[in-house]
Amino acid sequence: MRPAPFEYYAPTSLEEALRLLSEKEGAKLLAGGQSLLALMKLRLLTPTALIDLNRIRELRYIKEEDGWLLIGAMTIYDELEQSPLIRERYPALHEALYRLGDQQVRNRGTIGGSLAHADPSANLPPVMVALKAQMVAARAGGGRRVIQADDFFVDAFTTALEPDKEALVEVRLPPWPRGSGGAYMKLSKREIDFSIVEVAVQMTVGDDGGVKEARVVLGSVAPKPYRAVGAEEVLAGAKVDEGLAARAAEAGTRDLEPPSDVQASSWYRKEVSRVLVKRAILKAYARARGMEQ
Amino acid sequence: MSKAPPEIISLYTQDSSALTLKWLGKPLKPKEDYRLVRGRGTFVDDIQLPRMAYMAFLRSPYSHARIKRIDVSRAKSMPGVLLVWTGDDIKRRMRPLPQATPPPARNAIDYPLAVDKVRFQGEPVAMVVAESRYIAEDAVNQIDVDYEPLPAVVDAERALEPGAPLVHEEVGTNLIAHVHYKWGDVDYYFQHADLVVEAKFHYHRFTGAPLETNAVVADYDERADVMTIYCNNQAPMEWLPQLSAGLNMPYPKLRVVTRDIGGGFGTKLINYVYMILAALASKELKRPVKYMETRTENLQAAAHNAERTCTVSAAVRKDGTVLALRMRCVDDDGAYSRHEPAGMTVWAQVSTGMYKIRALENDYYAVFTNKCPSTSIRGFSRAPHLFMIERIMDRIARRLGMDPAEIRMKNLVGPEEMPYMTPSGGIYDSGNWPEGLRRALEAADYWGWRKRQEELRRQGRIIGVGVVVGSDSAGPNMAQVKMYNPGLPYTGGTEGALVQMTPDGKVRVILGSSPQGMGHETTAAQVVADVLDVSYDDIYVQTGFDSFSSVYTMHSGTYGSRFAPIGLSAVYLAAARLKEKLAKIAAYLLKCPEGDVVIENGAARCAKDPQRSMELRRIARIAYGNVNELPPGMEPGLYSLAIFRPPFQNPDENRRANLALTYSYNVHVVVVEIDPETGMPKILSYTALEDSGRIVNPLIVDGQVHGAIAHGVAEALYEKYHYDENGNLLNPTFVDYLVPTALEIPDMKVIHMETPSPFTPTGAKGMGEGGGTAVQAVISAVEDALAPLGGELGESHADPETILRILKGAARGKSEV
Repeated sequence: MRPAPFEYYAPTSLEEALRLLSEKEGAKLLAGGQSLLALMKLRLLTPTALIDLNRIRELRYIKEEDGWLLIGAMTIYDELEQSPLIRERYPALHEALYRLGDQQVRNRGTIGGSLAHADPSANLPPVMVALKAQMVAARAGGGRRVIQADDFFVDAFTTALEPDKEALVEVRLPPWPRGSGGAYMKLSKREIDFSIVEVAVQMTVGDDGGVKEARVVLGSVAPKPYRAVGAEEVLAGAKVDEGLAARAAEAGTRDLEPPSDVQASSWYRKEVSRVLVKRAILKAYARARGMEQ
Repeated sequence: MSKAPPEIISLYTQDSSALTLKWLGKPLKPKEDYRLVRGRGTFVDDIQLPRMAYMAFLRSPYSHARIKRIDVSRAKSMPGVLLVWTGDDIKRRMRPLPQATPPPARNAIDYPLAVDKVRFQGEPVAMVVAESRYIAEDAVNQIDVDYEPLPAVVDAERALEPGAPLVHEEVGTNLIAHVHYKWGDVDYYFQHADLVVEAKFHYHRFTGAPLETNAVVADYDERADVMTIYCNNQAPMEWLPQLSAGLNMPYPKLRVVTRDIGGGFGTKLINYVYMILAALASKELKRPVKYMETRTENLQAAAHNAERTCTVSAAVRKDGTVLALRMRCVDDDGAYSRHEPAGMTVWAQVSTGMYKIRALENDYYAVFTNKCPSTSIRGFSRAPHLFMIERIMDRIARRLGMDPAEIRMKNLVGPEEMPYMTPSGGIYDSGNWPEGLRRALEAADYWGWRKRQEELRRQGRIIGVGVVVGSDSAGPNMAQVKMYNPGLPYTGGTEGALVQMTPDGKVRVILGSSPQGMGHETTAAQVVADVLDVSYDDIYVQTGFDSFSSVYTMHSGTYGSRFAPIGLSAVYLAAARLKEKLAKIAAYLLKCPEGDVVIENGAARCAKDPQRSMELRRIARIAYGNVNELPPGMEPGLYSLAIFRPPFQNPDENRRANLALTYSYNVHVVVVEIDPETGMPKILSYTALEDSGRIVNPLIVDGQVHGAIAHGVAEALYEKYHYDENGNLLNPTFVDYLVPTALEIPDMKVIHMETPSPFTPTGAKGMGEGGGTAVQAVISAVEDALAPLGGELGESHADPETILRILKGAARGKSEV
């Protein structure tokens, strides 16, 4: 459990970190280290250099701006989980954080680290897609661009960030109108595990009880977050009850071809995807209507 | 009690007359905990020696492959690398490890580093010793091996089929041993049974997952020509022959030391292979060599339990009386016989389980496969066997429409029959088992749950209730190994202890055991305090084992739940003899008839004249220093050494023998709820009744019950090794090998009965392993939940997918493949 030799840099400014990233071939950015260091200790990853972002204060914040919530990439899970703003406005994100790893992981792991790592079973990616989050990428010299969550996750462990050039520096959560609610559900054998299946639902419901907008996103069932578009279509305009939620879940998971691994077969993932989507829809709907916290 | 001076081999006696019962049974704070909870334990990795070098291994990525070529030149030339060895280097330095198996399995050639061939994934192929562990691991990456992969055999039953790939060509078969057991007139009972219930069960592969992995520091002192091995082996004396042969050093030159050990659970018995390699390297380099196993190495290649597959038939009367069992079992022992096939005999300690079953036949096979070698993981061999019996009891109950609790009550051995001899010659020592079952059912509100189960089922909720009785048969009679290899010169089950009152009146205790968190310092001190009636705080028990100072036999060590029945008996005997000597000296000094001397509260007094009294510490001072005051001819000093020897015998020609000294009793009642849509099980209620004889320290007994339940719940619901058909272990890290956390372990209600064992002087019974009762109870509860849907579990592990498949009727549980 010892990593192969590597160089180590601990810049104190973002610009310095980005410059190092562009200069050092085979370097990797070190955020909370909750995935990267484990992979290095198993020698599954052997970066030539680590650029440690933990001393860059400017990357750690939660702030409001024009109704948006802006989160610095180096903000740790625990801080996010404790945030009343997130708990009230983005309950799906709060639940995903609450059910992420154990306290030790939540004390070290960062939102940016998790999203840039893009593990297909990680808690946060599906939530970001459900919430229509925006990812801000930066490169040396001050270049910045905004990437929609839908486009950010490209494949397993692969994002739209340009390798060796760009770093994820900020996550922006858009305001959702009154009558919105969300839910996150995860199925795993142990609480601290990566999910067998997870689902994030975010929706807006009109005063008449009809769904105005819904986003249903699954994790652990595909190389990247899976938009259950079929479910979203069934939900559009509908008033949600048990039967409708079940129909939406059926439609949303019909085309799934999830992977098999040591924890669960493809068959099982597909079965429980349907169950979780149904339950998460009902919960998000109740929250959107103010029926349940 | 013998009046002779301390003798080396004491004869067994049930005499408990030296007990005062002032200190036994009290929840005294464990002596070890004060240092352990402050992080002040001394584990192997805490040992730092000058000029220490570090060892690392290259391990096989294949489960079965020929080694065509190994190129170590690049690794050898790296700065800081001190030594690189392959199997050929080891072969030149030692003979193969001794094999306890009968022919032809005995022909297997086993070296600590693979020679010519690898036989399981993770088997060490080469080793590097370097100035640091980092350098050692970097060098490991620079070793090139050319493998020729071979077909693997991963299924124990297929391993016996003709044409199966051979794990050891020199054996000519994958069969390690075959024993046909037959006790009682099985054929008669099957002919006269009202019905025969049959099923096949698989006990799955897992491990004990201790906090501390295997570790060793070997330190060769060239000037003294002494090899010191700091290790965390659970039974160093059991393996001293291997070490002595491997290192070609006599026992008095070979010092094996254990200190604090971070859990063992049976996984730390066969780490002698690391001990030999570190010691050989230390001798070569004349420097201390440390090895600390990584977690992945531990999970992949250290020690698994043997999987067991049995078909079980039960001859049953309509009224639920179980008359006889007929079984065929196959143990999958993995690639090498380093501890196994002991499991193919150890089950017979509890041959007929807790029941008055009159006859039993078991056609038993143990085989090699291309998987990690197996050892005695907690509940060793008896847990899987009791699993088979408890599962078939549930099936019988269902066939007869009886309640699972009722069929158990009907067949349990009764208190009037104790001590009860089983058809295989086992002697169950004591207990009121039906009463224990009644109390556990009541404490768990069993009948209330049965009613609620019906009501909730009508609401669509799936509830299961499991009730299981079990035993932790404890203090093994090693002669059991003669049942598969009559030639083995290894019988009985003994342990030593030294109790010394030092000249200041304090008491020093040295044990033969090597505890891994069982609290031996505490319970030994309680027994000594109880016998001598001195303060618990004045007793100092040496931590761990040291072959240069501990009192040992070849059975010494901590395994098989043996300390309470055997280790503490040695402590009792040594303390009782010391008390006798103190009384003798006091009688002389106080001019009091010897029979009138009372030893109490740290002093000796004359019963007839309480004025005539003397503190023990004064006697101690006299015994060592002022020796002219001692009775004429008496040997000075207050050393008392004892070795406890239970009245064990070898199996007779029909393999009948009592194979354990005590038989604790436990009843677990578990309620589970199954999510009907996901198959996810959740434990709603857990109740355990424990009768482990006289309780020495209730904190320690409860801790063992909690731990055994946690392990059992883990095995039933979370921990399972998955090998693919090529022998690749698919979950060798804690990401995928799911050790439960505190969040997964249910609240438990633990209640006690206390029936002293007549076979131990303290009345205590062994109980630490728990007998696997928790595994059986959880599986019983899950199957109970599925039964109305026609579902049956064929395995000791139930994951949500298996459960959901049964619920969906989509397929039979995958465990029944």
